[in-house]
Amino acid sequence: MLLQILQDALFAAIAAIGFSAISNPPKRAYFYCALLAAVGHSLRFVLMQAPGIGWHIIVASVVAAFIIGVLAVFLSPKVKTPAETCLFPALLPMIPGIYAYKSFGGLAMSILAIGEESFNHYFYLFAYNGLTCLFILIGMVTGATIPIFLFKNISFRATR
Amino acid sequence: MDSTSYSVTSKELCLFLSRYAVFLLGCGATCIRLEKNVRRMAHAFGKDVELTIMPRHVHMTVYGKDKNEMFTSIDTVLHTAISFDINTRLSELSWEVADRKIGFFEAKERFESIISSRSGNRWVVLLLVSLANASFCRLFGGDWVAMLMVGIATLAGFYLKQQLLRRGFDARVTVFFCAFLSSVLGATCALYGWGTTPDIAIGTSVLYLVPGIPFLNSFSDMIYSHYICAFSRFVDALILTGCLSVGLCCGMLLMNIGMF
Amino acid sequence: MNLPMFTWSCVVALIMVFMLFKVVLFVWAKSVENRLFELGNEYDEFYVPGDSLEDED
Repeated sequence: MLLQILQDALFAAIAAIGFSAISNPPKRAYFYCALLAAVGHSLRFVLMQAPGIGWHIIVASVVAAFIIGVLAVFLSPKVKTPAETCLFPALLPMIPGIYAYKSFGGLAMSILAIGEESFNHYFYLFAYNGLTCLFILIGMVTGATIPIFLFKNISFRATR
Repeated sequence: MDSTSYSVTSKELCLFLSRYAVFLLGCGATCIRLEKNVRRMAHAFGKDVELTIMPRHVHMTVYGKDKNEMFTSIDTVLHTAISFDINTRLSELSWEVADRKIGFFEAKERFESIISSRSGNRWVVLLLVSLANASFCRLFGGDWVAMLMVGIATLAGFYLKQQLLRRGFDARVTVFFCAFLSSVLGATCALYGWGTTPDIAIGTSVLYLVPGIPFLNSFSDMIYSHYICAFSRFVDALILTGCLSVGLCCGMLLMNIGMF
Repeated sequence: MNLPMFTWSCVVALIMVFMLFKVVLFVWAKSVENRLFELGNEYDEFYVPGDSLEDED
């Protein structure tokens, strides 16, 4: 289990570095994005997969995002960047991309479906994937933003 | 002239802050950060400011104490690439102005140099994104063969994206073609029967195109009650995801692979 | 040849052609820089009063 967690953390860190490179963060932020992503993603993995916990992906994502948010707020004065510079790239590995395009696929298939049963099946897939994606995103952003609200003085003065 | 003691007019300040606002918004900052930075700088120069942030325009009024003089400007938001580096440096600039470390003219010069600074090495970004998407494949349970194919698919797709965007192609059309290309290359495992997880290879080969930052920004704006901007950013991101899905569907259809 | 194989082959062939094109362009640009022989201008060697020089308006 520990090996799986470490592997998850490593690959999440690499994914965060790569995806954050698309949005041109300051060079000093790369390490912290990777660190936050590793912590957050492996925490979500534990909350979802560990025997005895097994939380739903939405709840696990909210908690993981909250922890990432807290860490980001406290690290941002050290890195001298706004909290969201380290925070948003670190959330990228947790973005439910597959749910997003599966919901579009479901929508397209449901429109092309013949018969009520077929339509219902594809519409269910569209609704399930779409709602899961939406609530994961809302949950993640809410979870990550709560620390910014709580520690307002730190987060909006980080680049001072 | 010591610019820190220069008494700036509402007009000069409004034109500067308006330009600052559209660049900050264009490089992917949230509305709340824009508001705070602009207000901070206005107060530093002894003025007040009111903003209306719309999806494509920023409407700003700067007025002196007692509202004896005021100036309003509307500026169009620029479609620049998302850059947290510029976001950070513009935020630092606002603090330097607020702490009276620099005056108005120096702030203007610093601003111009920040927005004209070049973004990082394209090839490094290309390599990093390919590695990232391959790691993503691993996170979803793909084996090493799938990771390799996803890395190659991402390399080709992201290179195409860089080239098309540089030549001014529409972002939606770009995403469609890149999704198609990546999904066809990602389906190589399924076509030749390589590895044990060909489905995961196809599924994750297009994930680098998902507009993560626009989604996050839109919900962030929603939390701070900037509902119009939130909705606009959400729809932009949704349309890009739609184009991604269409490209992926076309690829999967031609490669004879079902999604469900 | 079935459709998936045909599609895949077309896409890969296009990519290969494009890469080859880029390589050829790169090599050709390099060879142009390091020419041994080059056609020059006679005005580089001889100046006759009344010739227009490039830096004069």
